[in-house]
Amino acid sequence: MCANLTLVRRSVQLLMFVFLVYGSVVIGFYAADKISGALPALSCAYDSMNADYCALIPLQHQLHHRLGAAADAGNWFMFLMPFLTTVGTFLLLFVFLNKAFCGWVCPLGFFQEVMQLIGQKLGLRRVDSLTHGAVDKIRPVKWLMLGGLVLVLPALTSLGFLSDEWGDPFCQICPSRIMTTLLTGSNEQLFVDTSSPSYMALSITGDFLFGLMVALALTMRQPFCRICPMLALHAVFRKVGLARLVKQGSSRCEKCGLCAEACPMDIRELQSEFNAVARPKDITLADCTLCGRCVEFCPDKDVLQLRYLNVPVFSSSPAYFKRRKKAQTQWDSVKLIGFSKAEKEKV
Amino acid sequence: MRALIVFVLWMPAFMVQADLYWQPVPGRGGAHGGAAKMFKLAEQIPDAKRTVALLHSDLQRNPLEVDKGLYRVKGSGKNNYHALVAREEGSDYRHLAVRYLYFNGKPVDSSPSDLLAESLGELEIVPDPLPREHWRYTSDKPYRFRVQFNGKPLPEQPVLVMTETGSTEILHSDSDGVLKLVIPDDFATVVPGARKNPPGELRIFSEVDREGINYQSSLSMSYYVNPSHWKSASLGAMAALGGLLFGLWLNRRLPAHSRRKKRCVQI
Repeated sequence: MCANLTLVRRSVQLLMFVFLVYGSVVIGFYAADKISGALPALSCAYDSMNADYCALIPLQHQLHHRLGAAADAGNWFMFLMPFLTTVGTFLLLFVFLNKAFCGWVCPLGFFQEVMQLIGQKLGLRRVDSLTHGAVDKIRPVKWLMLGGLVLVLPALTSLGFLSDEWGDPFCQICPSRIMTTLLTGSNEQLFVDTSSPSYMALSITGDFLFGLMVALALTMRQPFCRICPMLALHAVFRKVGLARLVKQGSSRCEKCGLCAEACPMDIRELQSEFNAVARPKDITLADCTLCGRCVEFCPDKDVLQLRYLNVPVFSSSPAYFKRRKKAQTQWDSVKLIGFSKAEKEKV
Repeated sequence: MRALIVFVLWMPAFMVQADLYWQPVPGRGGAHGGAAKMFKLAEQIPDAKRTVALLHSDLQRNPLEVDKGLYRVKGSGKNNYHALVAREEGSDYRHLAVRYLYFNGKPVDSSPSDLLAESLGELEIVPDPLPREHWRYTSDKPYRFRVQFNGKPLPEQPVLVMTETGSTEILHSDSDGVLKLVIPDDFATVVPGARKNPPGELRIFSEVDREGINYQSSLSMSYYVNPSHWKSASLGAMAALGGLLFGLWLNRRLPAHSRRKKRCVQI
């Protein structure tokens, strides 16, 4: 049992962040299109120093550039071959780590966690959780982002129903494009494009969304992850991933709920599902990022487990829970500045 | 006096002027992709011994045949950068013209670094580096090139930079043989929109004499209008600031709530 899973995860996130934002400095300038070209994390191709990039760019480009041409030629092979190759590359990587890409690899996810730490250390008022109603309203947005911005709009553009500006609409509004390029010292992706009304609307939306994400991440956990199309894309394939979150709950779970409280994605089903089952059940839900915080903060032995190839790699235990809770309390008590009265009183 | 100044300014340009260079034929193939591209070799010496070859991204070399003064370069089916190389040789001269072309296709084991490391001639102007995928040469941006002779850097080497729209500049490589160049923003007319402006042509020439032999080298490339003409960074920062302020306001409005079922508060 490791001393602190969150510390291990943050170390991996930091390494992956450096690799995905600045990695070309280490592994070579031209490496970005050599490693996979389709990593299921929001590592932006517009970052000139990264070492690999996001699957969403090739997906949108293949729909935009090839679907219409394939329809015109009556040759679907010329569209399906590259499209399925990208999805296949993504699937291959995804099978190995499942949704852990979101919680352990994605640079935008890590950036939001860092912003949340900064907010906490500045003593800003923390929004522990969104209401159940708000969560239920937000959950479908990621599917709309995937279906609408990544698939439907580029496809309609390719078929001639929309103007060319809508060929890669998700990239136009993606906050990771702005975040990763700003962190390499370039402000080239923070702009308002005045060349057409569509580009102007998309670029203003992207800039506004970036500012909104930064502000919300200071007080709320993972605001953009909740609507990210990558989360939805992962969710489609989550049943074939080798990494899983499993639960074998008991009647105590109904009264506890510490797992749901620890979850940065507000998955309340962690508390209510699989509480009287004979065998551990897969509870890797659509919004799960396999961060493992629910397992860390579960006080009962082996109720929650992270498994790889069905072998437990990290399990909940009373001893770990006590240590972890104590460490968290100590960490939360350290504040550099106390901006919020309510947060000061909590300490 | 005025004529003297013009002559003094013209002389260095003449001294580093090299003639042989690659010129794309308009309307034949894009900057990227698998489509065939058509080029002509400008300012050839009629009687020179000439060799023209395409160095593929996997470092395989294929000779190219001329057809009515044009060289047709087909997509090789291999991904990444290729080098179009022309050499002219005579008893007292060696001329080299190079142009790097991008083709889509199957991945190859070699990287553009391997391609750039290949020796194409004695005097070379080598991009350091070539633009990566999703990037291209753009006006008003800085780029680096290595000027080298027999693989060794040429310090303080004069280099002539010309665009087809008329910009001309004499630059010198630094003590490490590195040429730092900001591509001129010299498009006569700019229409808002990345795809609405045809690319310009940039040519870099250099020349040295060694042991009675004159070596000339040229590197040519397309360059594109800097999108800052229609993309405003200050407006972008304002839009992001708007999002930030809205988010900070929203933070204060969000109700405190616990996810724990037993303390659930529905609002």
